[in-house]
Amino acid sequence: MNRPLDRRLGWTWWTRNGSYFRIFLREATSAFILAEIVLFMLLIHKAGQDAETYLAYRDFLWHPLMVVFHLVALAFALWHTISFFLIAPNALPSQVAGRRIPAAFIVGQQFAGLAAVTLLLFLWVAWVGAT
Amino acid sequence: MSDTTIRLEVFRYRPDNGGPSFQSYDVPYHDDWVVLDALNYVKNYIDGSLSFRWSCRMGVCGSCGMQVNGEPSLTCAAFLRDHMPGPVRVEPLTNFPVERDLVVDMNGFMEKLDHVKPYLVREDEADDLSAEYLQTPVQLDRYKQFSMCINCMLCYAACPVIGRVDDFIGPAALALAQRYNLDSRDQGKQMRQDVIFQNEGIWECTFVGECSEVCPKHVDPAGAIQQAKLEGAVDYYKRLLMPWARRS
Repeated sequence: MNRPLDRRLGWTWWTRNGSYFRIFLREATSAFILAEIVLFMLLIHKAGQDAETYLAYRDFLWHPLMVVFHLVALAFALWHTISFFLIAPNALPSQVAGRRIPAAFIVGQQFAGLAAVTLLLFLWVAWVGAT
Repeated sequence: MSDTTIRLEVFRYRPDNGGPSFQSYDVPYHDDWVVLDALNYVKNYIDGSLSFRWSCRMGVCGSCGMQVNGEPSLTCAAFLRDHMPGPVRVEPLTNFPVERDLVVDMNGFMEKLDHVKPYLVREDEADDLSAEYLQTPVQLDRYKQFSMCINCMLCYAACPVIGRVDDFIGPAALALAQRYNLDSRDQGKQMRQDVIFQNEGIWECTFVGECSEVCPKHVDPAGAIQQAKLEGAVDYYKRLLMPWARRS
């Protein structure tokens, strides 16, 4: 009687090669982004309380270990964003109105959009700071 | 005959003769030999009991897919020179039950393939079997890339979701579903929707993308699945917001 052997990738699939590990790490970046959102929500919450509480929390965010954490989170967020932009052409239909859209155009549009939104936010923050 | 040799470490499994193991074979090295040539040398001159599938030897039939040094590969296209000085580890495709040595059970894959109706469906087929359905180059271009699949199953071996979710329809079958859905001659899109939009269809894919990396025909199944997701989402919102409109 034949007994087929089960050789499926198990839950440790992401340790199998460098490519899988990078993908796993890319997905894990969401944990850092979630943590940064929680820290930001707490900052808003503290801002609604007395000045002492707010300044203590702000000092906590500026602690050297927290700064390292923010930089790691930023690196992961940029990595996720850039890799997402680069694979976006694969996820979109190859034609629009019968014409093939170059992948470089789709990627370029996303980076241009990101740059525009970032610039607007900087201008808005600068304007709020000045008034 | 070449003086240089290269070592193959070949996965062996004989269900009636104990558990799996690796067996080493030293085979002559030739610059123009592929792994399949080396396996055939083993079969013909060293150990006739070794079992593996192959047919065309030119990357068309999709029969000789195996793990070569851990990578899902067509052994007829994997040159020994790229793995010098060796050893070259040859295993059956991951994620498939192994019947014997390098031979895997394809039944699950064939059933999944069958579910997506990977052929042109015509509502009026019964009326005129000799009818021609003309197509423009632009219409052909919409699906041509996805039509290059040779069912070699390398994408299933590379997909970690296949290894975790038994019922996931998988890259090749979903890419073929998308291929026929994009074909202007096909009228079977609605018939495929229940399969590709079920939980084990496109939504199970997490866009790891390894299926596209290993595809020897550059079909890009991951891209096909993401495109189907986008279409599915647009279709869902169309039906939600415009229930009176006809489904696309």
